[in-house]
Amino acid sequence: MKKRTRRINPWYYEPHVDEILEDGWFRIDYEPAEAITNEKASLEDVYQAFHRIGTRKIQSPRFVNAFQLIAMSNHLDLSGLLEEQKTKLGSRHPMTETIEKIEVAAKDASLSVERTNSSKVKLHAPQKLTRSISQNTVSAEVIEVTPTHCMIEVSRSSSTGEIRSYKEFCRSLSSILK
Amino acid sequence: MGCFSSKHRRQFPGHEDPVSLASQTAFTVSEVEALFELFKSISSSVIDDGLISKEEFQLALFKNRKKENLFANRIFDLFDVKHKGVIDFGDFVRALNVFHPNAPHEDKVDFSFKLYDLDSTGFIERQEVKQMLIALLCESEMKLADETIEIILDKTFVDADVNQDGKIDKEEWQNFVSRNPSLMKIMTLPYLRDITTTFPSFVFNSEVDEIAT
Repeated sequence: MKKRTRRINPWYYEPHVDEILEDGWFRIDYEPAEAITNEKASLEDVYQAFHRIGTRKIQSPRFVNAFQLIAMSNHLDLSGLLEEQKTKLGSRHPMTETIEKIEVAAKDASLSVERTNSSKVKLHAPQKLTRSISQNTVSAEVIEVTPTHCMIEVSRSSSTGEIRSYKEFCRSLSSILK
Repeated sequence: MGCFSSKHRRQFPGHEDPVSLASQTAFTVSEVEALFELFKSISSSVIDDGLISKEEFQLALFKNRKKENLFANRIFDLFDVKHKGVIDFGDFVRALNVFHPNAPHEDKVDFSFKLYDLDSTGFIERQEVKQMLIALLCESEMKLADETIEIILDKTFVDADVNQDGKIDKEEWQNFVSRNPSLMKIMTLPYLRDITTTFPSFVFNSEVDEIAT
């Protein structure tokens, strides 16, 4: 047993690990942990991995496989088909006037306006001949930044928003705001 | 059922009955009807002709109709199985089916093989992988030395091209994917499982009722 050089304070006793290991209570159902050894790793491999960069050493673990890189392309991500589309526009007008301009732009894009609350407007496409209930096409939310400036967030959910109406509305609103 | 089909066949060339499509895919009839709502929106965004053109496809995916690129072109070509230059509703549903979380793994592996086999020779050649890698690097504006690109290609081919003939065949691809399952992540769109909640469709209730009875 290791010789301890500290004085033992009877009111504060800190056991050493070896003492714990030898204690009867501790040894109940105790199985010492086993170190996991990787038999395949050798110092030689480690040396090669770190000292052979830049030569044609293909076993280096540091190079990614081409397909893993390719799969990261945004262009291979089809989830865009199912997601929301948002546009932010700045307005140098106070809230009320901004909303009025939104309504004008909506009319330009042949969308009808529904005021849901003081800062949000829902726009609906004209009813076509289908029996479908009018789904809100686009929504525009106005956020007051200062008493004279607002930020408009126009969003279209892929499910209900017609892409064409959304684009027309954004274009129209953006020119009205200029 | 007859009312639905004839009306939509006029407005949507190549349109197929949702019941038939549901039976060929992992989608339920309601889900096919929900996909129809999405299809309508995309197919009318540039020209309202009931078909998805390359431009409309790009617009839907990238919010930018001018944005052509290698991968989008390849995907469009795989959706457009009849090589007509446009995607009809049947094509749309059958292609998206491969991306359904419940679609058979083999279908996903198959689709990805065809995706990467740019010139459809039945093999993924080193030159094709190089082309795709360079496209990806351009997209991410990442610069890598030519030598580094070659090292990455070398390593990839040592891994994947088991018979070392300079190209990856279907079997080698299947093997490679089984050792690198993360490569199949792009082949699943989890949102497809919730499609009836994100794409409510009220037009076709009669269709669903008829099936239920």
